[in-house]
Amino acid sequence: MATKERKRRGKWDTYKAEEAPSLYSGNADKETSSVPKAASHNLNGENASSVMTDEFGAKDYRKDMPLKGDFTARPLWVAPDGHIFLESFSPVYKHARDFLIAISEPVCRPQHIHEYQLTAYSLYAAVSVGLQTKDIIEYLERLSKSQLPKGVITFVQMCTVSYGKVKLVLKHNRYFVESRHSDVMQKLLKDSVIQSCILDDRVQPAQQTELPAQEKIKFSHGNENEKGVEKDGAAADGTAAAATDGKVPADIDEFYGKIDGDDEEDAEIRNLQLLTFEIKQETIETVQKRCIELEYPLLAEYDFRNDTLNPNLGIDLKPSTTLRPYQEKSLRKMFGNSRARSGVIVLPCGAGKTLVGVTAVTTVNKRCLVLANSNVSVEQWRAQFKLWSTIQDKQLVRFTREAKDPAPSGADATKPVVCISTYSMVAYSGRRTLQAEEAMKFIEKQEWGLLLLDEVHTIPAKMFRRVLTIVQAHCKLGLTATLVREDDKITDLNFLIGPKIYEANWMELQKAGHIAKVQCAEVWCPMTSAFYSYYLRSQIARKLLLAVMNPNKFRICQFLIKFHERRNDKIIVFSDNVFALKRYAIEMQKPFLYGETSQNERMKILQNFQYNPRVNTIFVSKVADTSFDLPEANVLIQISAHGGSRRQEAQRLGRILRAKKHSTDQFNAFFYSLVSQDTVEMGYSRKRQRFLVNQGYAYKVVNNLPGMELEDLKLASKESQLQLLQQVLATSDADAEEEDVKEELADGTIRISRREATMASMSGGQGAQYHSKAKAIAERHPLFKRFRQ
Amino acid sequence: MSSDQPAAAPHLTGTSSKNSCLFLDFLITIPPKTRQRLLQKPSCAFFIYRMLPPIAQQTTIQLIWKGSFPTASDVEETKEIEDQVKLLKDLGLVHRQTTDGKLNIDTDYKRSYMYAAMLGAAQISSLVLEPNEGNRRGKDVEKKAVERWDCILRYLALPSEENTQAVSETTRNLFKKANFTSGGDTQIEITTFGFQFLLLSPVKQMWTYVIEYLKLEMSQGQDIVEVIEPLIQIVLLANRVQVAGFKAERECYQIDANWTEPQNELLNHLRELGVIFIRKRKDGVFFLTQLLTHLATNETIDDVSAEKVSNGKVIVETNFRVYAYTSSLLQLAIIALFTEMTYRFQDMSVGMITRESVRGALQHGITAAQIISFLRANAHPQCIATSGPVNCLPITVADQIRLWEDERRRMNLKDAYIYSHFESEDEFHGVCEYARQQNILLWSDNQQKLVIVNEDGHELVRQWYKREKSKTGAGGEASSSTSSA
Repeated sequence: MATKERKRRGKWDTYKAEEAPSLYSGNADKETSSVPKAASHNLNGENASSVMTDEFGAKDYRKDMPLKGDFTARPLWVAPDGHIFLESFSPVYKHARDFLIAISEPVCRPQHIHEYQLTAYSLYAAVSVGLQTKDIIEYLERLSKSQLPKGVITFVQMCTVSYGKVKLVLKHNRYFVESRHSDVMQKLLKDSVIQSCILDDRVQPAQQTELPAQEKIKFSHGNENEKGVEKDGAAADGTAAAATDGKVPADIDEFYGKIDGDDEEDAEIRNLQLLTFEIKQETIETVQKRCIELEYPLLAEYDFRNDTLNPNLGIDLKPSTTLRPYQEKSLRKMFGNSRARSGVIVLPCGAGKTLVGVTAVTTVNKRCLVLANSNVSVEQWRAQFKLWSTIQDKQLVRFTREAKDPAPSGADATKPVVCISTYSMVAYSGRRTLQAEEAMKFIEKQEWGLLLLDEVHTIPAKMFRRVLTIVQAHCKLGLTATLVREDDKITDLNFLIGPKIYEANWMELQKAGHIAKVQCAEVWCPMTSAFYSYYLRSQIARKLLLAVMNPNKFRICQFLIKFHERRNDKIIVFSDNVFALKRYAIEMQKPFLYGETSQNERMKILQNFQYNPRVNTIFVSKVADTSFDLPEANVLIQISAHGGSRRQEAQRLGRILRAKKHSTDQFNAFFYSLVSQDTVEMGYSRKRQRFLVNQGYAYKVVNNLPGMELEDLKLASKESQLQLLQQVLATSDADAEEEDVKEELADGTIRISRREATMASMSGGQGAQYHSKAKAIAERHPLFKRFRQ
Repeated sequence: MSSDQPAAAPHLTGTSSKNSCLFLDFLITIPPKTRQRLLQKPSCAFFIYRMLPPIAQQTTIQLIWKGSFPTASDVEETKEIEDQVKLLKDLGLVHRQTTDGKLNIDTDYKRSYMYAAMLGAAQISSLVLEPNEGNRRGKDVEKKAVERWDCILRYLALPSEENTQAVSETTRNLFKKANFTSGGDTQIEITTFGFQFLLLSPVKQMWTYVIEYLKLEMSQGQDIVEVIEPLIQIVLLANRVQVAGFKAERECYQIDANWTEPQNELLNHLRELGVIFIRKRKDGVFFLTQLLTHLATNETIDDVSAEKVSNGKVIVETNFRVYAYTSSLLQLAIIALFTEMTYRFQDMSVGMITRESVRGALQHGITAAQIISFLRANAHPQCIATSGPVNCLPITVADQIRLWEDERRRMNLKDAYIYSHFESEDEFHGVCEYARQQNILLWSDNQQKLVIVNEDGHELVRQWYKREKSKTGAGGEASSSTSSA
């Protein structure tokens, strides 16, 4: 490790942090200039004028896509604009599903027809998990009902041809640039910048003896057997299906094994000689940058098996720990070729992301840093590590505002540990306490084998870069349930962490019983006339408050709570608006927690909720949106939300998704979103639901709750309602607003920082994402215009 | 198109639809004198008999041959039989004698029926059969016939310029008169009746068309016996198409030069419907096509026919996306009425049900129930297999479509009058005060000087103005709509 390098980083400041790309991440530095050109390619970019529209205004691709003879046996339509439609009831569905997840972004996956989209990023991700351009096109062609449109072929080629050809491998603590493509190597070697970085200018064929030594990586005990069974089963299925109906075209079936199998490199490619050259450690950054400029971005892989410099943790999963099939699949993608790739794994909340993380740590078995986004979840990570793995207490180091385990020192300093901290802690740029300073030094000094990033979607890109410049890790794994952001920053993740490695299908997990079956309902609460007349005249912030405080909403909320408490359900009520949160909770005499609640009290409330049979309902603000693990909860009522944020809706749903004990065919969890009729909430609600609706969830609209008139509910009289209205109108503007972003600081205080933003942006009402999408469809890439002539 | 929805089956003819035979329903509505003349025609008598429901047929036979209807001792006179007898009475086939209450068959009908029964269906027609010489029939007649019919439906579903060109002016008029379309010559839009028409089975559609045509003729003072007779004669030939099959190719019928204008008009209509084929007018002959059998089918039997096993083509997902496995322009046109179409592939089209698209359909008078029943009736077998015949359309989607409809009902539109540009403050207050007294004031605004009164109030205010001398308040009176929730 270059000490000079580290020194410079030691006194980083915010400006530098922006500029300095991280050391080990081949594709992690995203400066607009150094993103590969291909990444900006877009299938949608074609001019609208060149797309024929039919008499109904739809894009008419009939001419571009003549059907094949046996089209009924094939499951895909691949439209020239990169949209792919998949029949889920096709006999070859399972052949196509995994492949499409690998090469494209799922747009929506309801029951029958799934929609995917090819993007430059998704193809980049496909390449980085080992798929070859040729295979992608070939398999797409075979799965497609019609011939592949030329534009799509060109797009795939363009986006993949330069990706994944060259790898940066850390092996035996030396850096190698590795490739099997001699033409690419020639090009790199001829480049003067790269020439200057080469340690030994002889390009050497790697010793071929090394290759067969690659052994499969096992994730848990007995897995190998399972896999065998699964494979046999699949094979049996396949032959049975072929025998009975002969519906699976032979070419698809034959190809399937190839794609589904652990993505070993293509035999053909494997036969090519592996060419490597070693580069000087201190020039890695330069090489990476140069390679991106040359359109051959380096894929970073960590050959942890051959890393002898960093000591092993020596932990494993407990024998009792078993992985679910999708967890194993996601890990198989990550460790596909016996090395660790950087990337993001997307699993629904409650589907066991933590276990995937823990397994990744035990697999890499080196020093590991876990970053979470709150103190509560740090505790949860610690508990999970102890639950699933054989890790010992002294190997676990917490580093948070509240619980600072001493940084290992003396003889222990060199021993590997798993360190758990929060993003804000690591990225904090102000003065720290002495203890914190020491801990930070420890983190900075280590060479981490794996950097685990929990709830990776929540972190602003800026903070990310800061974290990545401080922490030196060979491999980065992001975990999240919702890879969507209203501000379209999600693409940054591709280059900061790595491509999306795996994304699970919510509906399939639900069917398999891995996550709870949730009935979603949108409950319409009519505004009372008094509230509505003020609503119409108010400013937006006040409008939102009036909509939340609508007495009918209160009554419906109370009714639902009573109803579910009688069923012995555990209920969480979410409100973004703190004023409303307090009012509701105090009125109904339920515990509540929000940003300013102390850690101690939080833990107490959560524990009571979990174990005390008399505490069945808690009111929480958005601090509980992510990574509050409340396995008992099965009813969620949302009375106020953060504008049109799709992510928040999905995250909240995630609070009740953990598989329930009594799983039957019936719904076993309930998600109510209360909206005041005729207010902005209606529109926001539509928007918020989009992500979940695209995952296959259906919202039932409820505008009448039977039995409500029989309940004894508060706010029944006109007087009490008007009194409430007065109180609402008397609140200050600050109260009317949503809870502000809260930053946990290293010195043990909580500072409330006011965001400066328009109400629209705070509420997510800008909907930048949708707009940009709509725009993207309107104009297509000029490239495709050219190829479609 | 499926007939899978008896509940939604409309009665477009305006009479009781319980007989479910549009032709008989129509006959009931025409004046008794005209009907009597029809009963005198053997072909008509024969055809009416054919279209009767089975029990009515038996009753008629009994009365014709035995001269009496079995008494209560012979057979239990159930409600069902009563209904059938009532139908026969309405049609004028039987009469109940005022003296002893016995049923008697109409003598005219008896005579013409016997005549027809003895000669046979083909013989009673006055059409002249001619062997087909040369290539007068041409190729692909059947295909062309189906195309003709599709053209008409397509025009209704999607009155684009191209589709409008494809149908005759008379058809366009007919649809307009039948209230299937609305709007002027340039902007034609489908109405709720038109949409229901599209949802009918082909048999019902054709009969609806024909009967609308007959009604049109009747309303123009035309003697419809003159039209119905050749119509029935042609329809009766349908047997030949079915039985003779291959022979139909070699058979054609003379177009009588003596036919009147309305009769030639009828031929034109039938030609447009595709039930007969005329290659060239000057050939002087017409051919029959398979479509003719639609008109000859007894609808009472038709409802349980093969039409029922229609295999749907439409998948609706919980995220409001619609996938239609069809290349039929007609089906797509119907779907496009309430869906925003996004992709078109050879065998499948993709669309989205959006609030705007559904509201567009609702504005044309198509109802939510119609949309929902259409989507259910045309559900893809896959959807039915997984969710059953009702839930094949996700409940949330069905609910939402209904909610979008309800949403429109939250507003009650009433006409009202708004007064502005008052000449003076006094005048404004005067109108205001007067309207308040008369209880016709809906709304007033002191700042903008606007007054709105209800519809009835306008006359009163006008009188008030008159009384206030000839001081015309320059009351820029504009009618507008206000709403009350």
